[in-house]
Amino acid sequence: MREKVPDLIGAGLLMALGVAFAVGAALNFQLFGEGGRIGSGFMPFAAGVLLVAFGAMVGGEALLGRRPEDESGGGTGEEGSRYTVAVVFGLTFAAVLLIPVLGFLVSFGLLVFALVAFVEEGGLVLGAAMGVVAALLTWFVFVFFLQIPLPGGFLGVGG
Amino acid sequence: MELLDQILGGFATAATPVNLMYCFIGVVLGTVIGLLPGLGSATGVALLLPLTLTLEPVTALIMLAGIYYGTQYGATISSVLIATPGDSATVVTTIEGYQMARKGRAGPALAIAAVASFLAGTISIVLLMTLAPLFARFALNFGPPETVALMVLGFAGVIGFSGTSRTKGLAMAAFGLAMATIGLDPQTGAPRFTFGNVELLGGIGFLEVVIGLFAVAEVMSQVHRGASAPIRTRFRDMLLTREDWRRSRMGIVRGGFLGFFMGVLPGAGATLASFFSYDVERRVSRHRDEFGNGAIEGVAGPEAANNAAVNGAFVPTLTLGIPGSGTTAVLLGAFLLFGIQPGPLLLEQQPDLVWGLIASFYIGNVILLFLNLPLAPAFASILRLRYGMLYPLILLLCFVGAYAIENRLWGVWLAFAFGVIGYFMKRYDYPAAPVILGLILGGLFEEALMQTSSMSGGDFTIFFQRPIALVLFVLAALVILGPYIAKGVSRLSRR
Repeated sequence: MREKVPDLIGAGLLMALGVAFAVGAALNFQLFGEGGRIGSGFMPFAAGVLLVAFGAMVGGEALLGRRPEDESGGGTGEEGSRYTVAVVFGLTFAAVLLIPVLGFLVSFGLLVFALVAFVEEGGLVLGAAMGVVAALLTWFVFVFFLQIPLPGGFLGVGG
Repeated sequence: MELLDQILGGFATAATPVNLMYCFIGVVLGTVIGLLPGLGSATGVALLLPLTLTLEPVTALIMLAGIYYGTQYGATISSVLIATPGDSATVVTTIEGYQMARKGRAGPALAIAAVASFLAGTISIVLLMTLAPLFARFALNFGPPETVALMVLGFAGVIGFSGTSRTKGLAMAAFGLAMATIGLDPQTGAPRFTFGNVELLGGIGFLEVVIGLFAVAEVMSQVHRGASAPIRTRFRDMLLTREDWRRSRMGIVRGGFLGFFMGVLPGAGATLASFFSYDVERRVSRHRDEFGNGAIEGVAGPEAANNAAVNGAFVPTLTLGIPGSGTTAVLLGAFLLFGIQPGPLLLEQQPDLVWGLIASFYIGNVILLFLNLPLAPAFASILRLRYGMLYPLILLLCFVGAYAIENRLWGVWLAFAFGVIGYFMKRYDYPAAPVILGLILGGLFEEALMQTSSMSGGDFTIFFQRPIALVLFVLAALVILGPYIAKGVSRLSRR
């Protein structure tokens, strides 16, 4: 039963999303307009109904045990790697949050530093070197070459 | 004669110094991305698409196409040298290619893969040049009901061949369709599901979603990967013997044709083509006993097939606006991003672009042949790098790309959010390609459905009155329901 939980959660999420789209469309928009034309609400309503139907099918397949054997987690199943993934996502989230304050290049330079130095245990020197080189390369390709200004934050770096 | 003029015009467009340079950059970057296990062609195109945003559309598309088929070559190197395919289309190459490498024949395995890909590319480009105009001419008869039916077939194709669960594929296509309805309603201009957020008025950007679902999710699911120890090979080992060539040549021709026609079918794509080709070669080979132990024809056929399928997939993409694979779905989005609507009129309206792009496939294949034969050992050294040193840089590229699309932080947040969603989708086997297809085709599908309902006064039996639409619907139903029916029949017959 335990291995069915992810699919059941997935099915529940799909069905909830489907209900939200279908009900939201039915309540706020016309499903059909003049002369039988489909209205603004038709597509989101139809997509919502399909989500509910297919979500139910995913749940049904999980309950009936028709889930293929090799579907247990896409090959990324070790606890250690799950922890690493959570840390990498967390650090990336922090870097994105810091963009308005430190600017894009500094935030993501720091992200590269943190990932290499601490998560991958590459050492402070290698981490710092990779962070600086990555930020400089990004500046060269995007700001200098492609003329795409990046947010500079309060430091005004890379804008 | 007109066709020849157009082809020559295409080569003139593709051979300008700027286009040649970007084609070269595309195939080199594609080869490198293809080498890295897990980062397939769709991820490669998604990851590097932001770099092309400031280019001329034809140049940008030439570079993106270069990345696409460059990944196929690169993926072969990792399949042969570390038994880890860089792309799903080269999974089957691992079977014979790695066995050859273990026996000290990595060089011939890489060489036959490069030569087979090139020759099959040549065959399939000729077929593409011949068939694309025919497809486009036929599709000119399509009205809104046929367009709706065609899109349903496109969905069915991509779902039918996506991952292990068709139901999950269907659910993901519905998820993409639902996402496509967010933003301004195309009919009335009224906001739908924006909840007062100005950023949502423009809808959910497909490119940010692609970067999140493919690139960020892929990187996250590979973070635990360590360094590899590829089997060494040298340039002088890459020479093919007469026997190698004799055993491989017909397999290359078969793979070329088979791959092209499988590529044309929506959703069948390069992976399935390579498996079919391997099966065919195993059946027709005089050295059947060598299969599984390093039979060179088991590398040549599938490699020819996967390269030809890449070109075949462009037939429905360019002429019908229906992608033939996950990667062409991303490329279709790139076309739309540059304001180009693929479909039957594209060949008439933008011949320079279409023929330039097609000609660039050939030029790209020539570059790849000359690049891969001598440099495959050098490219292979990339496999020695620790993935832990690479993924922080790939992540940076993902997010700077997501920002660069519209110069707004919103894109970065979208890519992050879809990266998280994509990671769990990948973990629990929900395919990403149908989401992208739903997101890209959702708007066009709604428009075609709206026109159909206008034509028929809301009577959807119009689909049954139009023979082409009906046939397309039946095909779509067969693609989706066929495997379920087959399973049911076999269960009944067992009883």
